[in-house]
Amino acid sequence: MNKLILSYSKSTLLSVVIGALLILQAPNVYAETNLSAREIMERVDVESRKSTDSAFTRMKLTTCKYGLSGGKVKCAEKARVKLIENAQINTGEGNQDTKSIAIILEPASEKGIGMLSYSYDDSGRDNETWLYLSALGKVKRISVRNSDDEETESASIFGTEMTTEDQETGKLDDYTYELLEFGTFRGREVAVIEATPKKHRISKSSYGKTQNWIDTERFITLKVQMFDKYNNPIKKLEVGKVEKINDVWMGRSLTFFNTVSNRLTNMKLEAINFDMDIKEDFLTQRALTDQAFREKFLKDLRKQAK
Amino acid sequence: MLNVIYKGIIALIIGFGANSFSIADGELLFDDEFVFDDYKEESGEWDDGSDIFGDNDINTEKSFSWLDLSVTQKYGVNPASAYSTAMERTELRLGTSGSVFDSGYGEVEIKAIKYWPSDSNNVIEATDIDVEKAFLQFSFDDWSAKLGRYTIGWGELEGGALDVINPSGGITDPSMISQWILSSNRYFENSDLSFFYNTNPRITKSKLLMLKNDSYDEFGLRYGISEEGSDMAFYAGQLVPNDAIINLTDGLVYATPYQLLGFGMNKAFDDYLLKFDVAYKHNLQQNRLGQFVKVDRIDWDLAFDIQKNDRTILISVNSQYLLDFYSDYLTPTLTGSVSVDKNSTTYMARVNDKFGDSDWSWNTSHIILSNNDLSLTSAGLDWDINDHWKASLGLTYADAKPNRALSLFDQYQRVNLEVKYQY
Repeated sequence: MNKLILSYSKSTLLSVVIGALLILQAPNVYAETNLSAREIMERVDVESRKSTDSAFTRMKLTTCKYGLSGGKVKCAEKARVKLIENAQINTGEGNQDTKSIAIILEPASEKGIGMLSYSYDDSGRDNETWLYLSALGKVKRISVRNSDDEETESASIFGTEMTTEDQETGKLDDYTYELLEFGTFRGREVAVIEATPKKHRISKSSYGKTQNWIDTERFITLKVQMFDKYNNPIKKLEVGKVEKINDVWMGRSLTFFNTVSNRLTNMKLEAINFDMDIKEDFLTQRALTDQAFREKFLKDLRKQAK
Repeated sequence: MLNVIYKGIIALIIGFGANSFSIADGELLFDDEFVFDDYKEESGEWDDGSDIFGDNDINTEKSFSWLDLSVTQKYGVNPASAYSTAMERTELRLGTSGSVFDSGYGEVEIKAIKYWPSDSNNVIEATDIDVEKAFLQFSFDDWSAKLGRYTIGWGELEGGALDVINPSGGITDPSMISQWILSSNRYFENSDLSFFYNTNPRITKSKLLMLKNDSYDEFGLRYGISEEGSDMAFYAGQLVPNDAIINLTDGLVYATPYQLLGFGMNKAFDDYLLKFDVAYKHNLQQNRLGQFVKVDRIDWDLAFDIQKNDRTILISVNSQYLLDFYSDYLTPTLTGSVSVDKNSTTYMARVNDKFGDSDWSWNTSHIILSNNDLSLTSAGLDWDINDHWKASLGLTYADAKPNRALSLFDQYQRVNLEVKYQY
């Protein structure tokens, strides 16, 4: 259990979904090819934040080692499955920070473990995470990676191929953006944008650069290719099942491929609800230690979600 | 020895078998080709309708979803005694949890143990059934109350200066033992005040000895404050010692309450988490030559929790400093009494890590207890077979100074194997 806990993420799962997918609420936006790379990413970030506020999600994380057979990707082992409920709000100045709580429903060995995360937009502020360990009867703060050690990778989220760095939103000033080209990708007009961490950021990043396929109409990311600091492709995110939910475009299936370890993680949104009545009081350490309080709020959210 | 190896192989085969049964036969993930070429060549490779796992492939719905069940088979041998079996037991745990009325929550877990004839405990009892956990918790506005059998952890460091409410299984088994407790919390914006009361504190003692005055209550207050990058808490209480102490003057054992004032905090620095606890303990029982007295002591601990990728490292130092020390202070042992040091320091280093991206992980720790009276080394190998099966192998070795309080553990050696199924 400890091992599992130590591999837990320091931030929100919903941010992974939303931050990676990038949402557009306005239905009549046309491709804006006159935008610069930075402007496109800003647009994506702004739209993303709108949709992450007051969201309640139920998601399934599926991880396995994969191989290629007949040109198809196939799972080489029984997949590990985690079922998670997540509640999140945006907060702070300009609603740029996030608070969230994730509760594991399955598997049985991890059931009931809760993780509270505060994520700050300001790169000078360290994100915070707490876990409740029922066997010890206490809440534990987890140290969050912000060091300048280049050999240190971001922490894995729930032991999957997703890392805390993959879910980060905001902090746009930490990167330079280059528009590689416009084109068509899976039938959508896209801009391929390369994001390179700046000097102060690169020592904290697992990636030397990322290439992002952005839908220029919906402002949603369709794909991300991650490279190491020696320009080798090491990871890839593919977004599938793009749907409009509550007037918001989003992908309901995200797949992270780690080409170094040959493992993949699929995140499937089983249910997502926006504009929920999630009080900031709920996203505190109390929600970890006071299960009655937590269940009461979650029941309320499940009821709202129906 | 062969017996041990045989059992180990059987356990691993069981685990492997369980894993093998569930491996999919070339489970189809994608309808389209998967390549990692230059970005320009990838247009159109992904079918927007692609789904990695069909809904029928991954089914997380379980029958009897209200039931939590686990079965654990444990083996332990003593290499110092011709690898004789010291532990052979089967543990069954059944539990459930859920909401109770609108504002309540409850959990219950029953543990049943079958001790096989070769288990050292079998001479005392062959089976044991106990309530491992059972509580009801209710929450109203800024208040909550919890009644039942559970654990409360005080302080930052497990087993540290403030972690004094629930007893552990001992030096070789640090897992906490739950107790029947009533507790209540009042929550504020960035802080909380909690109170607990225990009318029947659990006290560890030899069954051969009689406990004098065992009806003391224990209670305590904790006020916690959470700030960005740091948490801190203040503690006060009257506690009953988790281990009874024998009075050398009358031969009876005592566990009389002591009073505690404490402070604990943590502070995050990059990958590091600094933990600090300090406690002033008043009226602790202590043997002197021909006397059984009460003394005051200051306990403190300092720890660094370091995380690098999957590797976690914990380094800690724990100190117990006796105030008003006299050279005739004594600690009773099974073989007589030994002298006491004014300051007793314990050091610990522990590392956990994974083998690459595999399902295997390892851990090792080294503890130097009580001014090197005891040196305890352990190592473990864990195999996370799948979502239901786990196996672990553990080795423990202790080296104790003769004629000291912990000399009983000298040359303690164990090899333990555990296979667990959880549903």
